[in-house]
Amino acid sequence: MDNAPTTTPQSGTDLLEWPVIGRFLRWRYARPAMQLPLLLGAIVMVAHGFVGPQLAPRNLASLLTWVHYRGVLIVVLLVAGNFFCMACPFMLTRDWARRFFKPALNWPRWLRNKWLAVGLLVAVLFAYELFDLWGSPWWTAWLIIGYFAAALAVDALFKQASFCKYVCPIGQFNFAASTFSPLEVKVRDTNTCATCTTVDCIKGTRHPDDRELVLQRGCELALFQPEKVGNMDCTFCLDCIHACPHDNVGITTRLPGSELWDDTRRSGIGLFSKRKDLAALAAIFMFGALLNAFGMVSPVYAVQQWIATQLGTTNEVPVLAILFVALLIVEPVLLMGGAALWTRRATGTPEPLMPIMTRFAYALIPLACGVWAAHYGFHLLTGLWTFIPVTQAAFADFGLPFLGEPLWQWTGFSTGAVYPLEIGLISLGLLGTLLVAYRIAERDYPRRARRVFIPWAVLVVVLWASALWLLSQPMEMRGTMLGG
Amino acid sequence: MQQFLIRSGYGAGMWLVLLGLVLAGCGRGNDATAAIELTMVEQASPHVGPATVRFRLDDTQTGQPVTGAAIKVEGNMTHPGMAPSLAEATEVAAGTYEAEINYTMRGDWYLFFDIRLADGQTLTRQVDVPGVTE
Ligand code: SF4
Ligand code: SF4
Repeated sequence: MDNAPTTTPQSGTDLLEWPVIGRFLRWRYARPAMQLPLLLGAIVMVAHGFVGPQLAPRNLASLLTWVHYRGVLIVVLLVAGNFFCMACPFMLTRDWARRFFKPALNWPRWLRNKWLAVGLLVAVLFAYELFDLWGSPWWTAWLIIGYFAAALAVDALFKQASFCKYVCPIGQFNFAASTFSPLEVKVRDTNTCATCTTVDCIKGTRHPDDRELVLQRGCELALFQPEKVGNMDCTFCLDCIHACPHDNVGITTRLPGSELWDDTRRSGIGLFSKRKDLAALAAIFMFGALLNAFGMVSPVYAVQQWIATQLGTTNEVPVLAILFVALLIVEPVLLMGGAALWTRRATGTPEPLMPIMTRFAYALIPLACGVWAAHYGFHLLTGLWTFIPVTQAAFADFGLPFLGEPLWQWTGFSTGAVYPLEIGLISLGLLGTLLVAYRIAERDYPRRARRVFIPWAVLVVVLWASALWLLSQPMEMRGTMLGG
Repeated sequence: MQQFLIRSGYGAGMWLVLLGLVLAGCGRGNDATAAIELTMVEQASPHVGPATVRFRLDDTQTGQPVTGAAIKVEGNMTHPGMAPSLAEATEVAAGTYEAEINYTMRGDWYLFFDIRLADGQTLTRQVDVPGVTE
C-alpha cells in the first residue's frame, strides 16, 4: 500500500447511489444481463450476414456493426464510460467456456504490453480499407464469428483477462477513449482500503472453508483498486465492486481527461510517462482517426491513384501499405518529433526526444475522441433510423413478416444538419487536448510551461485544422479505389 | 440466475458458430421468376445529382417485354446507413420503364428494383452503379 496514490475523498456523483441504475449495477448479474441481449443481437446479425441480402445497407450484419454499434460505442464512451466492454458478449461465452477449460498458462511476459494489440488495431483498420468491410455483410458476419473464436481461444489458454488486456483491438480503442470518459470505477474512501486485510477486489472472494473456491472474481485486469488511477485497462466488469467486502468501490464522476496529465504510478500499468506502448496507442488513436476519416473523402482516391501510378501497380495492398506507413508512422514521428525538438530547444536541456514524445502523446486523446465521434457520429445520425426497415425486412427474410412492409424512407438526419455537430465535436476535442497538453507542460516543466506548451499547441492546431479540412471535403465511398 | 445467464450465453455462442458454418454453406433458393431479365436501356448516369434511370423488363423464355409491372426503385450507396433515393417507375413503352433517382453523393451506388408483375408475382433485381462522380 506504500504506492497508494494520494486520493482525495470522493466528491463526485456515484452512479451506484442512483435509484434505478445503481440498484441494477449492484445486482450480481447485471453484467451477464447486459451481455445476453448483445449476444442475441450478434447471432441475428451473423445469421442475416450469411442468408440475408448481400447489400450492406439492407443487411443487419453490416448496418448494425458499421453504423449503429460504432456510433453508439463512441457516444457512450464520451458521455458515460466503458459500458460496451461491460456488456461485451465475447466475455459471456468465454466465461462459460472457462467452466470446461481452466486456463493453465500465464500470458507471456514479453507480450505484457500493448504492442500486439496496437498492431492488431492497425491491422483491423487496414483490413477495413482493403476489403471494404463496411460493404460486405458476409465478411462482417465472419469478422464477428472470428472475434468470438479469438476471445474463446485466447482466454481458454491464458489466465485472467488476457484477451481484453493484451489482444482485443476494440478493447484498446475503448481503453484509450475511456481516459476521456466522465465516469470511473474508483474506491470511495482510501482510508478503508488502508485498513483492509483481505483485498478481495484484486484477489477475489474465496469460500471460507475452501480457499481454492472463488465465489467472486477479483480484478482480472490486474488493477488493484487502492492504486488504480483512471480508466486505462478497466473493462467496467464490476468484479471489484461485487468483491469488495466493504462496499468501497463506486462508479464516480470526474473531470474527463484529468487522468491524462496524472503521472502517478498506476496499478497494473505503471507510469504513463514510461509506457512507450501506451503512448503509441494514443498516437495511433489520433492519427488512425484522421486516416479512417480520410478513407471516406474524395482526395484519398487521387492520392492512392498517384501512388499506384508511381509504383506501376493496380494492386491495392502496396498502395494502402504506403499510405498507412506515411500516415501512421512517418507523419506522427515527424510532427511529434518536431514538437519534441522544439520543446528541447525551449527548455535548453539535452533530453532525448522519445521521452518527451511519450509524455505528450496522451494529450492527443481528447482531439482523437472528437474526430472519432464526428466520423462515427455522422454515420450514426445520418443513418439513425435505417435499422427499422432493415429489421422489418430481416424478419421477413427469415419468414416472419409480422413487422410489416419495410419503411425504407426512414433514414436519419441530413448531412447538412450533422455538419455543425461534427465541427463542434472536433473543436471540443481540440480544447480538451490543449488543456491536457498545458497541464503536462506545467507538470514536467513548471518554470517554462508556456514555452513548452507552444510547440504542442501548434501541433494539435495543425491536426485540428486537418480534421476540419477532411470534413470540408466531398464524401466519397468507393469499394474499388484503383481505376474504379 | 448467473448460471442461467452464462449457460444461455454459451449456448447462444455455440449456436452462433454452428449457425455461421451452416449458413455460410447455404445457397439461395430457386427464383421462379428467373426468366425475367432487367436490362438498363440508358445506363444510370454516374454523376452526382438527379438522373433518369431507364430500363427494360423482358421474359427471356417468351422473348416478350414484361408490361404492366409495378416497380419500386431504390438508389442507395454501398455503404450502409446512407439516405436512399426512392422512386416508383413508370412504364414509358411496352416493357420499358423510367424512374427518377437522385445520386446525392460521390461513390459506389446500386439500384434495387422491387418488382410486382401484373399477375401478382414478385421479384427483385439489382444493378450496380459504381463510381458516381461530380
Ligand atoms: S477490497 Fe475494497 S476495501 Fe479492500 S482494498 Fe479492495 S477496494 Fe479497498
Ligand atoms: S474489476 Fe478491474 S476491470 Fe473490472 S471494473 Fe474493477 S477495476 Fe475495472
